[in-house]
Amino acid sequence: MDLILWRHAEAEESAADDLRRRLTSKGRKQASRAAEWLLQRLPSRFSLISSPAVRAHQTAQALGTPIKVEQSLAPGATPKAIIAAAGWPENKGAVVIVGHQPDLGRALAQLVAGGEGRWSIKKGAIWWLSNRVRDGDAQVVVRAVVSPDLL
Amino acid sequence: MELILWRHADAEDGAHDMARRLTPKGLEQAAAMAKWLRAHLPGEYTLLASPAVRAQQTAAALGPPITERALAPGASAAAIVKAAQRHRGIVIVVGHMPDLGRAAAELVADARTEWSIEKGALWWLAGDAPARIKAVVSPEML
Repeated sequence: MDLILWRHAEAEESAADDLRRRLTSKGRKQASRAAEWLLQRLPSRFSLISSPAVRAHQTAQALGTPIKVEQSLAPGATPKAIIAAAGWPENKGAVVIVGHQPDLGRALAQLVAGGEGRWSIKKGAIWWLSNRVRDGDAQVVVRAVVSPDLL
Repeated sequence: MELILWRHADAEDGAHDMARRLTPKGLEQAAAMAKWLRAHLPGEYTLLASPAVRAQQTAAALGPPITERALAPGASAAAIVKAAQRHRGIVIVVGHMPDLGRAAAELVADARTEWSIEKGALWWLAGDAPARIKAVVSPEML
């Protein structure tokens, strides 16, 4: 399967409720650039799953496809919750998860390195992982890592 | 330091491993990656390459490389890091698998394993160990 982990783009600093923080105008541009990059590379059918936080949902909206909101992806999501929401590794096809740091970075450290690290992911950046079996071994391939400043 | 680990592009089969040349597809991959690098590299950088022909040809798509014998197939992660650390700023290392994948695993996760880097792809790492993965780009994803 293809698993795309996408961190929400730049958001406003202040809101009484963290879950209601909105993207800044720079964040909206970052989201639309990343969405354009994704749409050129994703298969025609993919699942899009977002954290319920407004900044994540607004980022996901840039793709223009139906969004499934998953409460377990809210800030503080565990690697286990993220991996379960994606259906990794059995899911066929491509799944895009829009979430938060350090949650996505912890899931990445576990998926790629089998470790406890907290990998850095810039705002609006995308990590694209695939799994495959080679010589009887399950492998995870990092197919792409891009951040808005490199798009 | 910023370290870009760049695996040689698609190469012909051949009896003499060091003399294997890029296929036409490999030449296209190298050219496409070099174009991406030119668009995203800030000015100065050092380009190091394994003496194997397929690595030399891949590097040449970007510019004339400094040939490093220590980067030949079978290079240890330590040898790759040592070769890069002789230079300042951004260092691009054009080399082989599993060598580059071992260097990436060691620098990012302090892990003695080999991560998969596809033919022609690059991993852009920033900072000392533990390094941050700044970008991963492969010819298929350009």
